[in-house]
Amino acid sequence: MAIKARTQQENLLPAIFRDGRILQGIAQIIFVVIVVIVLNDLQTRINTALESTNQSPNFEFLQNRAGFDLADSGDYSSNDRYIDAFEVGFINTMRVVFLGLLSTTVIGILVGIFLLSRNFLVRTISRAYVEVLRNTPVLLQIIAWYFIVMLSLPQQQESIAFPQEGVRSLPLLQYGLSFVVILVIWQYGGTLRRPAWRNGLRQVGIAVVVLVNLLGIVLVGAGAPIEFQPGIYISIKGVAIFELIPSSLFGIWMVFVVVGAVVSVAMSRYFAFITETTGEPIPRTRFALAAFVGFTLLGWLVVGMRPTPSLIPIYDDERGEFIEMEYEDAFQSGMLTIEQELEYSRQPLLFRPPTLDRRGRNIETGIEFSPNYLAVFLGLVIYTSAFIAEIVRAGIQAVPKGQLEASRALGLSQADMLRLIILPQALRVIIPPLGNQFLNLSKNSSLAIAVAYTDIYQVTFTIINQSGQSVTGIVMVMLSYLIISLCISLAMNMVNQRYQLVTR
Amino acid sequence: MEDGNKQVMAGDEPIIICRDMNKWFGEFHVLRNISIEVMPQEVLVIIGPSGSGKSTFIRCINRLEEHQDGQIIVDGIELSHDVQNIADIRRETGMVFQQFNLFPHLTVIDNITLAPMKVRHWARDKAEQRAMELLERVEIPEQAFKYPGQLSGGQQQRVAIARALAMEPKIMLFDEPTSALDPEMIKEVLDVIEELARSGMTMLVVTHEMGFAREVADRIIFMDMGRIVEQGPPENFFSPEIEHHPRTQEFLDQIL
Repeated sequence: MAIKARTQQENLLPAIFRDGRILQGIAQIIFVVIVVIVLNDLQTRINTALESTNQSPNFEFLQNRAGFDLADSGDYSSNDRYIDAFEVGFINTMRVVFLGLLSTTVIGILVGIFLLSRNFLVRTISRAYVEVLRNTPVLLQIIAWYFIVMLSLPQQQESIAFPQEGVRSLPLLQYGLSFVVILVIWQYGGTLRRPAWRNGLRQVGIAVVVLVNLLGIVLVGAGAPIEFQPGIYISIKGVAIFELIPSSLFGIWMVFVVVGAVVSVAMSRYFAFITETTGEPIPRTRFALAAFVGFTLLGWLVVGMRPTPSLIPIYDDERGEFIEMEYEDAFQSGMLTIEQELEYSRQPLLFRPPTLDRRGRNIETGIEFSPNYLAVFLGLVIYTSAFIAEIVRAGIQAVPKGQLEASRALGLSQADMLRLIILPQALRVIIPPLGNQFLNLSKNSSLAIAVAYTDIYQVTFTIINQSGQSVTGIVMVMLSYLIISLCISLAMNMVNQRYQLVTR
Repeated sequence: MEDGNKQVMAGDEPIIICRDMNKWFGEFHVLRNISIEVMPQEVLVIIGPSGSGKSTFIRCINRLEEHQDGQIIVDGIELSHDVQNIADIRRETGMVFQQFNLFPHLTVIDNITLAPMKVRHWARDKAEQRAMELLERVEIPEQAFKYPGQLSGGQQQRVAIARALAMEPKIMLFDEPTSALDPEMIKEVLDVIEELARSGMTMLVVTHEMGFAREVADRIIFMDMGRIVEQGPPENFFSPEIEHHPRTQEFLDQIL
């Protein structure tokens, strides 16, 4: 069949302007030209505006003295430079984002699973949690956390303490022993073939745990020095948490920890290999975990056995000279310097409860979280967790029912079904929207300004007000958020790729 | 050993016994007083209009559905709320679904080796060797390392059959195995099932393929409204001379 040619009248445009590819090219060129013109105009306007106030955008001003104080700022003082203030803001934002992402994921997954619970109460409560939290603005929630929760906490002098002061409790060693017993039962209880042995082991285990703890009570009654110091204080000034400082034994103990980690990984690999080649089922994760905990506890005991001097020189303030004191007495006298405690301690980590400085205002030892930080942190974490819960619920429900039926028909155990069939398929659905929620949390952290938490946005706002360098300031904030967001996206994309399905 | 086993079992006690089994979905009475015995190596084909309870019936046999009344005994084990019993029965019962239900995130061979390794505790080598033998048997060994999404419907269903066989079940349940297939793929799947039937596997097949039923079945069961209306050998069932229950006659008139 011959190709039909158009007559001259029908061809309103020359052939070249009827070619789809060329038309697309022309459209693109027009678009680029418009963008360039607009950007150019914007730049001239900014420049003229800034020139009229005698300021051109630059980065040199960052070296100037900031001259303002910041809360939550560590070593920063008003004599530091703008760039130092900016750094404080960036670190504070990262503190919210990093800890926030971890916490919100954990809470979100838990609530998501609760949403699918068969227990009516659990299901209804978690449903209410989700509905209330995701249907109110996050700004409102942050403000509520600050003005309603944080500011209603008691004054610092009447801090709430955990555990309460003066509470007598059982020695750590007992908890350690009880823990080991529970671990052994968990480890071997299920693997024994005969039900009689299984039950027997459980009963022995319970008996040991009870005995160990009874012994503890007797010891407490006999006046053994086992009083607990409060480790956490909560007040209107925020939350102060104890510190664990590595002592001179920390290095040797870490050797045990590292060896434990290596052994547990090696065991896990080896048992996986055995299972592959012989089919023998071995609970390798439990063995590996037991090995790691075992090495860690053993190390703690072993490093504590190193010889310590029986007499320790202590500087006596009253007499103005050094006196010798028995080891135990020296540690209880509270007169040892921190260096001495670290030097002579029998524990690899030294427990340091939060203490106030002489003026009784600021925390001297311990880790402190300001109420402003906590309001932002809790507000963002709780708000975002409601969305993550819904994502997790939807992801699990998105696995077709047929997959469960096929797994059951094959006789897979409930745990294998969850781990090998449901989870890999649910993650495929969960991960992309989860990444969006992570990005939301990181960007919503700029709402910190509502409760005067010194995050990057708040600090830069102050810098802009003082220096007038608005363009530079905003560019820096934008770049900071961009970097955080791109890191999150990159990580999520890498995870996502692992769970993509192969089709045709 | 396999052959020896089968000979002992054949002509022995029934491998599946249902006594007065009843099931309700809420108010709806799906299965009414189902009583039936299936002998080892028997091929039982279940037919009937949709909604008659045929699928529900065979799904009760491996406890994908729970019966509320009556008794089901599979291979000498009674189905109850005892999870150990349920696990034991599922280990001896393979099932093939209408929608294949292959695991989309695992390759064909991993689909097949998963259950033998996790449930029967076979070594990977043994499981893979067995999987390849089964793939030869269903005539798609070349697809072993592809994912289900890369296969045609007929190929997927054959993988699903291989997956069920890998557990070396004593009983195979087929729940409308060809209903979701394109017409030209139905034959390849039916051929595999037919070969399996001839090899002496005990099978319960729910199907709408009457030609296949006539060819393969030792006994045909016609179900309607949750009841077994009529049963008998295929030559009787499809014979025009024999007097049928009016409901059976109506069904046969419509499809033949």
